[in-house]
Amino acid sequence: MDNSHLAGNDDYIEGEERFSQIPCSTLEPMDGTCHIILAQGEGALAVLDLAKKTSSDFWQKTHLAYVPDNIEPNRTSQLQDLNPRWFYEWPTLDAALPHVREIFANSKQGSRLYVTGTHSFIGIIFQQAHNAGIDPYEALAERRGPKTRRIQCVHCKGFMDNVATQPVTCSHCGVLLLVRGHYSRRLAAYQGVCINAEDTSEIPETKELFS
Amino acid sequence: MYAVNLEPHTPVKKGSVFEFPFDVDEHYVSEMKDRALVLDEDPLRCQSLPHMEAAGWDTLELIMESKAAAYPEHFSLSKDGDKWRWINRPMGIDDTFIFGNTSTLPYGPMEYITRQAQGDFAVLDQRDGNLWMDAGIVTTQADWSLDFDIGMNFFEWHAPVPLAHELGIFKRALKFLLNVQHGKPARRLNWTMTINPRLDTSPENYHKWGKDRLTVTPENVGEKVYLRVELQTFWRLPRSNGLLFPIRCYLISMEELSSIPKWGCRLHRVLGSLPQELRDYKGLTSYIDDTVAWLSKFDQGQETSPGTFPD
Repeated sequence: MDNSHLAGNDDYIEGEERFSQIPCSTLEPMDGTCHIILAQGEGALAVLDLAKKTSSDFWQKTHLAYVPDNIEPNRTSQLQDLNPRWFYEWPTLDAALPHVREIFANSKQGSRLYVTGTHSFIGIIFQQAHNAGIDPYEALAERRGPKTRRIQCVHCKGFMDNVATQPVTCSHCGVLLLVRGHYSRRLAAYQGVCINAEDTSEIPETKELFS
Repeated sequence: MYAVNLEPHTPVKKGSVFEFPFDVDEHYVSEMKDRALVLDEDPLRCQSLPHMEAAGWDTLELIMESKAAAYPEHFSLSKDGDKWRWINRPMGIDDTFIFGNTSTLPYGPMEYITRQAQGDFAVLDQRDGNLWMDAGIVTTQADWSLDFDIGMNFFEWHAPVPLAHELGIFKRALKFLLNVQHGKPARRLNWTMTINPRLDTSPENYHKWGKDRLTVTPENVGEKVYLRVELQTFWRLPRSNGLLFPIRCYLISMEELSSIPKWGCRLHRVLGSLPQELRDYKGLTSYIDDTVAWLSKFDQGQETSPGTFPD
């Protein structure tokens, strides 16, 4: 693809990405027999906001999982004060995943899913939910924290997390990548494609588009 | 500028690519060798999600029956209940298998038959009022990745296409495709341009072929620049209710194309009036001006005859 028109457009994202990503909105209480809430980093604040709109019996049928991800301040005690039926805390997404899979595997029809945190976090949790057969129409997502992206290099197929810039150098194969507005829920990643394949000596300016 | 340009896939003219349901031409054996090479290097060019097995058998049946009927000198299919014998003479294949039993074939049914059929194939599942790219074999593509797009719905995999969403093109196209009936296939044409007669213009290898675009000069346009036309057809599959979506690629150099004066004239007008967004999306920006200039000698403002066939 040609990207010569990139120069001079500060907010350039290729494609119609609204057709190709997880719809994010604001967490609202849904009717359900069980609630599964997964919050990463600043997502804790979205959960506290959600709590302002819930009745007390909401939390009696809720799994609340918190992944602080070393993001300060830690909100553990504030979340525990909501008195969820089950509370879990895992330091990072990697540590959380086996437990999240277990929760999803045991979830019954009528369960509702709430996910909040960075877009990368939301994407990976939705990927797991999809693999567990959870209907996306029974789920809500709210992005909190930086707008960084998880991308897959289309050339070497390597993944990179927390990408803030356009373009970005692939940390695996070294190709300079355009982050396209093309998102795969299955891979939980945006697509990265060589930005200067026609002439590799042409290096477009790097901009912080996703921060 | 954009049109959904769908029409029934019915025979049009003897000797044309529309004569038979699946066109087999003089490049058949070499294109199948090219496909095998690409798959050796990158097996993820062929994928099928687990629920697509029935659609794979539908695909195998459709292609075998169509080819055996259209080209009996090259292909034969005989059936003894579920026991089928398939002979593909150009490729030297003579296999007997049990229809519906994947363990009796060297590959899954979709991969088996599409390793013997020119063009890319996407196999779409139909559910929730949408089409889902849930299986396919893609080795001759114009810059899209099956490995990335597999599992996406119709709007998701078209997300990178500019302008057409706003025009409502995809909503209308989807509505049409959801209603394609068994035995009544449809077709449309799509086009872009490619430098050199390269079939595998994949995003995976873009960092390798992208530089070819800067090799075009005003002198070599005729031999370097190719028009790439995709004949896309749409087939309802009887058991799975899936939709088979073959994308057959034809390449022609500017030199050969302009040997038909009507085509040289027409392409000059199309390229000259192409909106900037489409020049960029189709990747033509770096060489389109040279190509338009080269084609200008075929366009004296004359009227051309209706249709796409030569006069």
